[in-house]
Amino acid sequence: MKKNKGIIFTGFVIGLISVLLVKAGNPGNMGFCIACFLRDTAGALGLHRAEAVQYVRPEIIGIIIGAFVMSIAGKEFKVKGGSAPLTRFVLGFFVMIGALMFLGCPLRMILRLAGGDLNAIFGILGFLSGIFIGVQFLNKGFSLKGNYTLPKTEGYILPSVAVILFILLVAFPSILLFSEKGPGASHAPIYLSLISGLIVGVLAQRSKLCCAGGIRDVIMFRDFHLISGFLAIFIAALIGNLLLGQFKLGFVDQPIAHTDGLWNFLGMGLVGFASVLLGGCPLRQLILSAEGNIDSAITVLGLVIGAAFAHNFGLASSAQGPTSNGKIAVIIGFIVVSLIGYFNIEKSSEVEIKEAVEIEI
Amino acid sequence: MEYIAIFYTHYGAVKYSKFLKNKNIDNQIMPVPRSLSSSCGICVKFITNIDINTIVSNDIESIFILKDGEFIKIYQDE
Repeated sequence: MKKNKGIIFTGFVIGLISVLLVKAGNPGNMGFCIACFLRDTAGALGLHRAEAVQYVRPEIIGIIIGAFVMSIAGKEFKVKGGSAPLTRFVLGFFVMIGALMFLGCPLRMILRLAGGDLNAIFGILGFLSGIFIGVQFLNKGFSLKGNYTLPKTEGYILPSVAVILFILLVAFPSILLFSEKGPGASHAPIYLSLISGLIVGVLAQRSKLCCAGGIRDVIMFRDFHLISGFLAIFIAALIGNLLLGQFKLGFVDQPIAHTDGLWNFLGMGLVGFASVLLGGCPLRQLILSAEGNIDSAITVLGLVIGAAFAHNFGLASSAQGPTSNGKIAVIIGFIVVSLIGYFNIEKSSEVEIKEAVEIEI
Repeated sequence: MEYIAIFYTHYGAVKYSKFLKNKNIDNQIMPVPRSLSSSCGICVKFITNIDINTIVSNDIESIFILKDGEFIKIYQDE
């Protein structure tokens, strides 16, 4: 229990902040949603033209900067990359396609349930199934191969982009797009969002919180460390929502959600499957990219471009439900992710022993 | 001696765990403890008196040894 303290604390804080951000203006059950916020940011930059979802979310900027500063302080900023970058980009792309079918990343999935949105249950069942499928590939020998140490400057790029985006947001907003109505127009005050993001970035970097990793560890090792953080988010957000009167139990008329159980299931199934192959949920990818993991940074770019495609080609669901194009895209996603899984299974089960190692104990 | 080996890839750890099992070395595959690394890989914990220099595989990123209740890094692949 003691070793779980840090991550439970992190989960509690994230749950509470999420509830407060909704109170302060963020869309319902969307205090935090990495998928939605990257999508909104892509919209603000004009990468897609869905007018209801355009806003540079300071939460994302805060998460990146918070995790970056924390990793520097803890001497954990290590710039590495080169582990199947384009494959990771494609996986990130389809994580977003799945998330926008369901309307939320794994973090928002848990926040939706904590707000009483029972549609999230189908998402959770799908997410569990997707992770279960991904774990089978891992055990069969799936691997995206190791990474290499890269120049430090490579790792400074993403945090720099985050800083530039924030400067644009506060000093030159006229060059960005802003939603006038819809979810993109609902947001907490800029600095509150930024500080919330910073806190989450710091804590998530310290604790390694990961929504997909938690379930993976339970399935593979019966290890409950990571999932305890995930559960803490739920409990804190549930209590917060009940206290603030934001809890509404049911399936119908939930904020930014639809009631198609099958496609909620399949959307999050795709997210879980691809996330396990990537080694982490969208939040975790964002944290890793801030720590200098370039493969994760490429994954984040895949998420962003996935969001742009989702809105340019009508793949994202709305409160009215999923679209036909979206359903086709999710099916294609399952095929592509399965192919990636299959073709990256290592055939050799030999362990190669290194020669001339000199370790002094 | 009790060791923890951290791997570049998931499958590297799975293979190594089987390798140790074939050598009758007790081992446990598990997530990397936060205190050892901020990465989200998996690691193999094992206890053996065999010379560690003879069982370092190419898949291993780093090795830690348990000394006085604390894991200390003794090997880092470059």
